[in-house]
This record gives sequence, structure tokens and C-alpha cells, in this order.
Amino acid sequence: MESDDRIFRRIIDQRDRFYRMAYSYVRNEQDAMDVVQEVACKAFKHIKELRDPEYAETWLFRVTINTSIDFLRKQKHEQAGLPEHDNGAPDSYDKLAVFDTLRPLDDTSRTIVVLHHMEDKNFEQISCIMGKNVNTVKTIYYRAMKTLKEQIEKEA
Amino acid sequence: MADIKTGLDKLKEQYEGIHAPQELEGRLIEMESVYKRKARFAGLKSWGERAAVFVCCAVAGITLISNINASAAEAMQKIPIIGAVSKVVTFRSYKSGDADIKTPHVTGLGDKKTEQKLNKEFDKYSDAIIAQYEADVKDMGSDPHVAVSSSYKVLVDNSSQLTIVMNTVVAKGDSMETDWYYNIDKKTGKLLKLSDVFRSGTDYIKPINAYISGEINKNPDDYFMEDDKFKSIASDQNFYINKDGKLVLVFDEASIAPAYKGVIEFTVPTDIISGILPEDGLVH
Repeated sequence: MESDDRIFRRIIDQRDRFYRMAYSYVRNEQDAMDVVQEVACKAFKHIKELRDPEYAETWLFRVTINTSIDFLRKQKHEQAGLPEHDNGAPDSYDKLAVFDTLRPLDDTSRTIVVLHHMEDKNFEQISCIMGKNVNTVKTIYYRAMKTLKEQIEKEA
Repeated sequence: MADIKTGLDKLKEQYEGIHAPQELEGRLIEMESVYKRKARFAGLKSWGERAAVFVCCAVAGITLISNINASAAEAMQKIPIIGAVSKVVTFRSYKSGDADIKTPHVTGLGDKKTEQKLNKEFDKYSDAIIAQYEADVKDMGSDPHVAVSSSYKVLVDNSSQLTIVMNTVVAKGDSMETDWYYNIDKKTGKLLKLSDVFRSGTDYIKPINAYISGEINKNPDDYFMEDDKFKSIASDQNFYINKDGKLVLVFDEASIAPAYKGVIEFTVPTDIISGILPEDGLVH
């Protein structure tokens, strides 16, 4: 049971990090919370594999990203026309501005930038999280930085 | 790159300023507690199942035993007279520490064999619980923290049917409640298995599974999903026929839904099984 407690404690204590990652995909408070909740559910089912804290963190980010992508895919299938959820207090413009600046990047490029700059992950770690070759990660990253630089200059 | 550095620092600051709504913490804490309970229940469940296994073996076994001491039952029969003929009495009451286990016996059912078989099952059910309780107390040493309460209730008693439920609560850190039902068809004197409710050779599993899955899918958040999702009723499925003649399927705590949902019951609409019910059956 100690291991169970640890993984849940980790998710609860660091919920903001997984929530932000989910939010970067689904762009909606309720959906981002649903994603994090589903990640916690999946974590419980893989509890024994998640005893190593470093692996657990990699796993949690990976599953957050994949669950977010699945969520969007499912939403796309399920259909158009449903009103967006709009629960909870609206986020302030300033906080969400980060996603506006990152908007020119595709999902993969944006996630690599977020993991590297916001979550302080090195390329090796990002490669494990995203299931991509390190060199591929670097290539995407440098290309993304070029786009981002232009975007930042444009905003300035 | 000075500009981009400043820009990225600003982005990081904005990113870290995003916090999950308070609601998420509540949801995760709730999940944590549900899953912890589920993990504990896995232990408790095996405890309760030991008693259930005896019951199932007895139902399948059919061989019957020598004399139950009928006179003892007679002597203790101060108790409720149920229906015109059959009576359900507390044959044995075990009290020790935090255990209170009542064992019923049925008399006057008309069919002696069924009566003996049923009473033997009640005995075995209680014996299993008592043995487990005593073993737990012994293992726990001077400060045992286990409490068991087991009793019965006559749910239906009419001219054609007698249904008794054994209710057992085991508290061991957490608590788990089980209800085990015995349905007797008075016309045939038979202790019913679920298959006996239907015409012989008919497939009752398919429509019942479809009905239960449909009900679960209406409120999926209330039930386990993925690996633990309901798949099929069991060959020795727990069930009863209620006083209105409706078939009710019963699932133990933490078997198809989180433990806090308790024992789960589904009342099957008769129209979905009417084609496979016998004309003069108990379910209508």
C-alpha cells in the first residue's frame, strides 16, 4: 500500500503540472481535469510498474499526453456541434497568453518546448516521454524554436 | 537570442501561473480513497468468499447428509411462524468477542431432503465464517480488530416460494457486506439455481448480460470500467425473486462497482426474458 499512496500523492501534489500539460491539448478546464483523473485511474492499474519515481514521472507525462490526444480524437469522432463546457472560473488572459504564443506550433513541437523549457526535461527524458528518437526530438525542437522566435518578435 | 530567452522566461512564468481548479484536488482525493478501499476489499472479499464457496459446493454437491437434529430445531422454535407450514428459526447463535453469527434452519418445508440440504448449507456458511473469525482473532493476538455480524431474513414466503437472505458484515479495518440469497420453489421443493428459473436448455445468460451491460452503460461513472468492467453473470450467480415475482440479480460490493456503492442489484424487466420463462414459473 505504500507504493499506492506514493503514486497518488505524487499525482495530487503535482496535479498542476499534469493539468497544464492536458490543458495545452484540450484547452478546457473540465476536459483537462477529466484527462488528469483518467491518468490517475490508469496509474492505479499500473501501480506495480510505477515504483521507481523517475520512471513514474516519465510515465505520467507520457500517459497525460496520450490520454489528451485520445480525448481529442474521441471528441472529433463523437461530433461537432456540442456546446463547449464552460465550468469554473475563467482563466485570466495573462495566464492563457502562453498558449496563444505557442499556437503556431503543432502539438508535438509545442509539447517538446513545454517539456524542455517549462518542465526542465532534457532531450533524453523528452525522448522517453514522447517515444521518439533523441535526434528527432532535437530536430523538432530547433525548428520549433525558430518558429517561436518569430512569434515572440511578432508579439513584441 | 536575448529576446527569445526573455520571451521563454515570460512564457514559463505564465505557464506556471496556471493552476488546476480546486475541484481537481477533490476529485483525485476521492479517487485515492476509493482505490485504497478497493485494495483493502480485495483482502476482505476473499474472506467473505470462503463462506460463499462452501455454499456453492453444497448446491452443486447434492449429496445429503444424515440427520439434522430436528428435535433441537423444534425445541428452539419460539420464533416467527412464516406462512402456513414452513418456519424459519434461529438454530444456532454464536457470540464471541465482536462476532454475532446467527444460523437459521427451516422446518416444515414439506420436502425433507431439501430441508436438510438447505439447513446443512446454512450450517456450513456459518461454520466457515466462525472458523475464519477465530483464525483472525488468533492471528491478531491480544488486540484483535475484526468484527463479524451474520444474520438472516425471510424475504418472501408465500404458497409457492420461500426466499431467505443471509446478510454478513465483516469489519476488518474496512467493512464489507454480503447478501447471499436462497430461493426455494415450494412446488418442486427445489433450491433454485439461476438456470432453474428458466426453461431448460434456453440461453438466459445472453439477454441478462445485455440488459446489465446496458444499465451500466447508462451510468458508466458508477461502475468499474476497462479490466474490471462487468463481463458476464456467473454460473452460480447470486439472485432472488422478489415478492412481485421479478428476478433480481445481486453483485457483491466491489465486484462490478466501487465498494462505496455497496451491494449492487439489477431488477430484470420480465419482458426481456418472458420468451424463456416456463409458464408456471416463479418469475412473471
